[in-house]
Amino acid sequence: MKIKIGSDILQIKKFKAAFKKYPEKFERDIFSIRELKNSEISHLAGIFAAKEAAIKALDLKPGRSWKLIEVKNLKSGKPVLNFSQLADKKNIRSYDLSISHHGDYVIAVVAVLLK
Amino acid sequence: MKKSPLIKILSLISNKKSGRIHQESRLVRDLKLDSLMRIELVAQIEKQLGVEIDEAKINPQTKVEDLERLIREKPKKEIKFKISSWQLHPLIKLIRKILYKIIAFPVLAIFAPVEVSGQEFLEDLDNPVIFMANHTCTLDSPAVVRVLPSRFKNNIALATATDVLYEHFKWAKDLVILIYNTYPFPRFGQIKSGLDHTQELIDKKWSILFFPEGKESVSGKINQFKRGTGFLAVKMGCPVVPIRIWGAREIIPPHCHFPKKRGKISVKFGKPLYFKKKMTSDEATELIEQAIQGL
Repeated sequence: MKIKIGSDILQIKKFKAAFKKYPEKFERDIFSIRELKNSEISHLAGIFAAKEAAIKALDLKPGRSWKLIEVKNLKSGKPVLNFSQLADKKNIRSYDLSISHHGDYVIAVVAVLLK
Repeated sequence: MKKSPLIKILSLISNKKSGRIHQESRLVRDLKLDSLMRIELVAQIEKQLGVEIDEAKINPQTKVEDLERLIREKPKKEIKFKISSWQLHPLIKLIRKILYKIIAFPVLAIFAPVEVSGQEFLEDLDNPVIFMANHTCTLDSPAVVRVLPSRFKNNIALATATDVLYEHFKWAKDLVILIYNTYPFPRFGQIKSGLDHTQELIDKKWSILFFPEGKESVSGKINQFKRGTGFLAVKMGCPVVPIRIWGAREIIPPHCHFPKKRGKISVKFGKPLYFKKKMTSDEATELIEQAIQGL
């Protein structure tokens, strides 16, 4: 068994500026329709950081991977990843995700346990 | 020596002077490119150079010269979708007029009678005019066309997202073109082809119906307008009539394709807007957004 970890930190102000400048890019290539439903910017920044953290943890190449990983919230508010297409391919046994906001920054950490 | 367009883009994104960016500079180590800047880089290359770069090709070892090579090797995006050669023909116009009268409008009247206000703002206008409306559901276009005066109703073309009608629903494309005289307008990336098609139609004195949000609003609130909205308004040089639509999404809610109930649609025309050539596209977009929000 192997543990892999990935993290990403983002300044929300910079994310907001990029999102405002290239909304089509984010809609087309990064976020799912469900993720965009909650269009509160700091929430989206957290999702972006979580996806990047997952990409690093799973040694994926960015690009198409963005849309293969979806971030959603359980009723309790805990963020979880939905990456069913990748789970089997990457031999993922279990994983955990944590997103934290502090002022104008958001950080996400993904830990993955491989079979 | 003139700096390459790529180096100018990298200078803008990394906030480093272009004189300090060289072909051997590594994007991550030297220019400190992070995940967000990588997205911006790819988006700027697509926007300014018309080339789609696979983000996966940018890694910690990638140098500027590697990216220059990728851009050179990648062909520019082609215009895949054009205005159909038959759709503007006078005979097709006549068929469309008949289809409106005997099918489209009677069916609309059954599910969604349309109430209109602000038609007095159209009295002094003639083709070409650009009508810009908020987007709530698939009933928006027929509702607007239904209440336009004849000189516009029979001479209007609908800007339609290429990824929706011309790719996703391409099996229905010709029927929709026949009924609504749609033409392709990209929602993402380079919109030059959409602008060229619009110019072609306006030069032939067709009026345009355009939805600046680029997609139906799921929440019911008006989405941020696409940046091309203001550019289109300034470039085309014809009056822009803002339109507000209410009631349609209650009849066909988001993610539905058929009416869930009967209801009334309200269409309100606003005062025409005129844009000077020197106005920036951001200023024009904001004016149009305010005009529609204010109706």
